[in-house]
Amino acid sequence: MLRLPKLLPLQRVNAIETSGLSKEYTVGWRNQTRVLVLDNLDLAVSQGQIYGFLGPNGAGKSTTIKLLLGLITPTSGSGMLLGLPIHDKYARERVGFLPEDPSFCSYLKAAEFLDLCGKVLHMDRATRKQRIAETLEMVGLTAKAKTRIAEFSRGMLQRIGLAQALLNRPDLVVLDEPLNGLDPYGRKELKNILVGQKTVGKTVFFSSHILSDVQEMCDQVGILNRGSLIAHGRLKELLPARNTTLVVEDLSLDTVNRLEPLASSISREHHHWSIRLTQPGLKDEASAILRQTGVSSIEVHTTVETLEDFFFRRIEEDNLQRGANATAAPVSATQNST
Amino acid sequence: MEDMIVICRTTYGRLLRNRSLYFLLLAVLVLVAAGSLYADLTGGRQKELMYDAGGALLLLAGLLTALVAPLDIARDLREKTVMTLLSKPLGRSQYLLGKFLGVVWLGTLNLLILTIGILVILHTSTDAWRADFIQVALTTWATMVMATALGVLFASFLPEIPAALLTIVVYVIGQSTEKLASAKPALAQLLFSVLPNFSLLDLKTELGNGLSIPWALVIIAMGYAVIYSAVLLSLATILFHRRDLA
Repeated sequence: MLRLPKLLPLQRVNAIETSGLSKEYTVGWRNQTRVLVLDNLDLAVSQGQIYGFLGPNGAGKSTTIKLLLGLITPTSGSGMLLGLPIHDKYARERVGFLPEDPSFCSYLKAAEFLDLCGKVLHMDRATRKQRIAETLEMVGLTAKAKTRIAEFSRGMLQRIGLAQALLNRPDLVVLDEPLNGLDPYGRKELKNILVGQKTVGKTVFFSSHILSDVQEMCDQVGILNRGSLIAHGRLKELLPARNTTLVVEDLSLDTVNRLEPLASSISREHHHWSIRLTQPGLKDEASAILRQTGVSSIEVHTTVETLEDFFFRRIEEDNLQRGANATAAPVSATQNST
Repeated sequence: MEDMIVICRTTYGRLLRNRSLYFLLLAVLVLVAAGSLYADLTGGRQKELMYDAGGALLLLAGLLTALVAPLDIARDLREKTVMTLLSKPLGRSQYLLGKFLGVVWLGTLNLLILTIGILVILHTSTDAWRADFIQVALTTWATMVMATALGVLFASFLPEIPAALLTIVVYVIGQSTEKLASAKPALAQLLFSVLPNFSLLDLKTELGNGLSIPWALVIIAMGYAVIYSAVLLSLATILFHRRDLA
């Protein structure tokens, strides 16, 4: 039997909630440099969602995940998992976690490793036996139950990692780069499992670089860049249904100035000007301005922005913004001369 | 407690699969079994030599087992087994103490098998049977416990190689801490009071010279080892709680 954790009204609390969560490391021996890896993260992930946590390498995704699971200590700020503080043992009883590039106890057989995890999760022998069989089947490793983990391929390691994360039927599953090392079949199966978790009301929080998969599966995403959350929300809200771009020839500076409030970007290539509108609904207003200034030929291009487009755009915008700020006041790393 | 036993049993199970320890046991038994040859080499001092060799081999087995602790904890960190286990409702103290107990359990069995083996060989080859050897075995066990606790302490904040090396260095220094007691500088006095006194646990010289060992000395030495190990483990737990498992 699983030991019952403190009971909380599950539906009323967020699966994950952080407030001002920060992590700073000190690097170097003599000239100690402080590096801010995570900066004031305020995040709320409601239950029953699949949440994709994105960002370039070194953005702070794994650090956030380790902070959430109490594996590292925050420099400041706090966090809650399923309504309990992140360092609370009972919270971890209802959470499953798959670390990035795991190798686990290589000397154990798959079923033995899951048995160890079951014991740490305080399951009795009968429950362990039943859960191990069910979970191995879920991840497609039934035939490998008696194979040593040392003999597993990268994809199989990810599967056994997922199996131990799902063994206690957690309310929240946290996965660090779960799609790494999986072939297309493995990815498809994993996606099915994660979507299956959502359909039974569980919350899945995972980091990934495979944006097409994230877009396909997730309800919400968060994008982290250089330790700061630069975008967060439902995919439907973050990715507008359409992007409208007007392409015209030879614009005067005055026209460009008049169009600027309506456009997210205006670019020029030879004689062609591309005016990307902030909202598709502004097409008529922009066309009217163009006609007033004598432009008769207007090409209208409508595109759907993918998560990948959105990701690169937001990262570039943030980097540009930081570049501008950095020239005013460099703050990301401070030096302590000792 | 339940969690600690799970980790202890897993650690013990893993170490049992380590062939190098079997090899050690085999090598030790072969060396001791060759005792009948010592008579030709030692000119009648076969018994003393066997006591010396037996005591030294017990110590070697105990220390090698103790060195497994920092290496095993580091391996768990490298393989991310620690992250997987500690992301579950398992306390860091329970993990660390479970590891300690797993190594001590293995060390205890190793020493027990060796002691029985050496006593049997001593009895059959020299017709000698001295309870003093059991006293030496007990203090060697205490040495193994204290060295394991030392290894666990260093592994709680250092990578595997520095942790293992530091365990050896402190053990070697600990063999001569009594000399520091009579030294004049205050620093030497301080080191004496802080560093483990492994020389207190070393009764092999008395055994080799045929001196009788009072049981009170054995009990004091073992009590010292248990208390010192408890302090080391408390410190290790505090440091491991503060460690970022990145």
